[in-house]
Amino acid sequence: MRSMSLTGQTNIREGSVRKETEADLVREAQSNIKAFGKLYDKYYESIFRYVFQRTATKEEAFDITSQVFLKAMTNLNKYEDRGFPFSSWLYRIAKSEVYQYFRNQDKSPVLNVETDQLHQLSQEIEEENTVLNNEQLIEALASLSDDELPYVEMKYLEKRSFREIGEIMGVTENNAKVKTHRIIGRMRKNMLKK
Amino acid sequence: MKTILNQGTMKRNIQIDRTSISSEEILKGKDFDALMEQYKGQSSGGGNTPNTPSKPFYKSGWFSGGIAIAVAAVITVAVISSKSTNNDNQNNVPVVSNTTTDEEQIEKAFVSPPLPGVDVPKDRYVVNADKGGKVKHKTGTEITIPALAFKDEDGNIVKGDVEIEYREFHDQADIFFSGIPMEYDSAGKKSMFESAGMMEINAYQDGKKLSIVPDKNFIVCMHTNNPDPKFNLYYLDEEAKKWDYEGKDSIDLGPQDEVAIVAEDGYNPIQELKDECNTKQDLVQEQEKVVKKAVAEVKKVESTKPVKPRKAEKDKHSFDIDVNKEEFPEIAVYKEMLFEAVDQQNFDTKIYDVAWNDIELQKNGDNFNIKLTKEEQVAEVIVIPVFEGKSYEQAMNMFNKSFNTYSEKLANRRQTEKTEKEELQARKDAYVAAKQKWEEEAKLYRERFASQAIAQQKMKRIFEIRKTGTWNCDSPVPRPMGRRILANCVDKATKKPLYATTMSLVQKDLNAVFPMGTNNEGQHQFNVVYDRSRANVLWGVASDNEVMVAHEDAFDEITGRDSTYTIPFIKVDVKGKSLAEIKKIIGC
Repeated sequence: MRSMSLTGQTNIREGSVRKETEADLVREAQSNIKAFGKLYDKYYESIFRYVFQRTATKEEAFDITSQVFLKAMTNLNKYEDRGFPFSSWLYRIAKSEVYQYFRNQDKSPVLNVETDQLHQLSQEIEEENTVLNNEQLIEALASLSDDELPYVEMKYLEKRSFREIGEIMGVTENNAKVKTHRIIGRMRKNMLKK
Repeated sequence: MKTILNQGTMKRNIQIDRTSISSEEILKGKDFDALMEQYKGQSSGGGNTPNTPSKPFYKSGWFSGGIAIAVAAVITVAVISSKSTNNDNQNNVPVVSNTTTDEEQIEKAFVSPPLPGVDVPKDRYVVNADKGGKVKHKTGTEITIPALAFKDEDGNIVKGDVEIEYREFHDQADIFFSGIPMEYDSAGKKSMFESAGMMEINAYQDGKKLSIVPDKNFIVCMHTNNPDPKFNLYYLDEEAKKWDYEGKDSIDLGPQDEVAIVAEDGYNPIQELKDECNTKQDLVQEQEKVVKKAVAEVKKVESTKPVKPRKAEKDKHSFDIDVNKEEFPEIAVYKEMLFEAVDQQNFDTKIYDVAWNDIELQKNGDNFNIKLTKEEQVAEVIVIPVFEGKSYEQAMNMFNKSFNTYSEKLANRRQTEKTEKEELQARKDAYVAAKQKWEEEAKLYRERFASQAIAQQKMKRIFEIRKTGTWNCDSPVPRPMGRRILANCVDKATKKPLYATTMSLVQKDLNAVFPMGTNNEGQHQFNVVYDRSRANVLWGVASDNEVMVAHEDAFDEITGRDSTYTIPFIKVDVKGKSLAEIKKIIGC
């Protein structure tokens, strides 16, 4: 909880604030792992949703989410604050755990899409005088490589900012932007060719 | 939820519209104590890994692949004798008419020809089920049937002669008079089908309907008038009353010498013009993105317009928000700023005495809305940023400097925007010119080679079928957009209202049929939506079972902005006429 005091009077001001930052929470958890509970509470739902988006069932998502936090706790001492939010470190672990899970479970990667999201994606790809049906879009999404799909998925299905995508993927914001546009461009070209 | 797994070239499991999960449900899975136990167990050597061992890649779900349309299969089969009636008799009686089930009654209601007695005729062939064979239809279509490919309704393999009932649909009249619904719902996105050829095949023995044995797919080389590769393959699921996507067909353009006739001396000038047009379209799209970016840049710069500092006035309530920059990065920028309450009279100085937990600053024109929170206690103040003494002078100096930089930057960005917009217009003009040239040449080209339609007779669309029923090479197209009117249907000869049981719009250059809805006033008024740039025709079936047609010129009368127009229809007496004869009369 952030806390601050505000002081002042007519044309006279003074004041100071102090709040517990995310960095404080991480430092606290690094020295006492039980304090990791605060970070767990804060990020559980968002990490679960990220995982659930990429899995077939909620049971799988619960398992993988636990694994993500377990891994985070195990590696917490190696965590260094490099100016990105702590959550982007968790997302990076989640990304890695999801793919590891698929590799180990002999399962296909899962892509969950809503019809509305497909409509929005089709508007992004469609050109004048062309109509793309959902099968074409799904086929195009399914044909993306494991390296390419996360960019499209995060940008157009999860509506994340390029900054956030860059943080999760470990690239710069600009690089995330360029990569995403290139992938969309290739999808457009391939689909319109068909 | 719809799940698509390993279809065609896909190697990914796709789930569409899965049931969403609530926050409450997610939180049920949250258990930090259990996680701590796992962590402790792991730290003490009892490692936990929920991941399971890998399996070889060839056992993976995606490797096994989905439905592949094998088109190059070589099957040696005996050519069977056709018992085709080879007539155009619209009074064809179905082979199993005396054994129609309730289910088929429902199917008939779904596929319902609008005009009794007029339908696309079916031809019949006989094939020996033990040996298989090849059905050769009058259009040039060939269907290869493997040996022992039929089973009866109990699942028994059928032997002996089997009767094949077959028909094709190639133009708008075939679609209209067959009553086959052509609306396609792709996970909620509705469109209509443009067809490059559709066929219906059924098999019977002793009047009983047969189905295809699994893995004994028929290979269909269907005649087509349209070799465009954009079309997909769909199957009409009459039970579920919808079209199912079944992948893609492949195209055989026929012997190369005939292609050469179409392509004229080995090269196709129309294709070249089309390619050029597409290239120009690509350039327009690229430039549109550049312009979009340039416009955004201008807006971005405009949003940074410096606000002229104001001097703090004596005897007015104001305060400073002195916060740690790291903790409140969003307000760190206002560090040297004072906030003067806009409403001085009602300003409550008690806010100075509270240790607030949080603060939200929201820009509101030249003012700010400040919201202070401590647990349940909330204070909201509208303030204006001001400076005093030296801070004001510094702020003014900074303002002058930054305003000059801002003005220069804005001028540059605006110039870039202007240049890019001019470039976009130039590219658009070039595209329109290229498109016009392509369309004109293509029209001439089509007219020139119309007499050589024999070349097209050889074009085939090739696909496999695993079920009897209706298969369609289609591409979804949007419904016509543009002018919307309420069409008041009248008989052109008598001027009396014409009542119709069904009404559809067709565009001459598009092999699709668009049903038009009636309003609640009666069956002589229909809501018609049409694209003015196309050649539109309306076809209907009058309540007295005559065909009614409003040709292209009927739309010429629609000149004003009224919502209701009288559309004159020509009535066509179709009694005793075949579908081929009706097509000639209505100009299809």
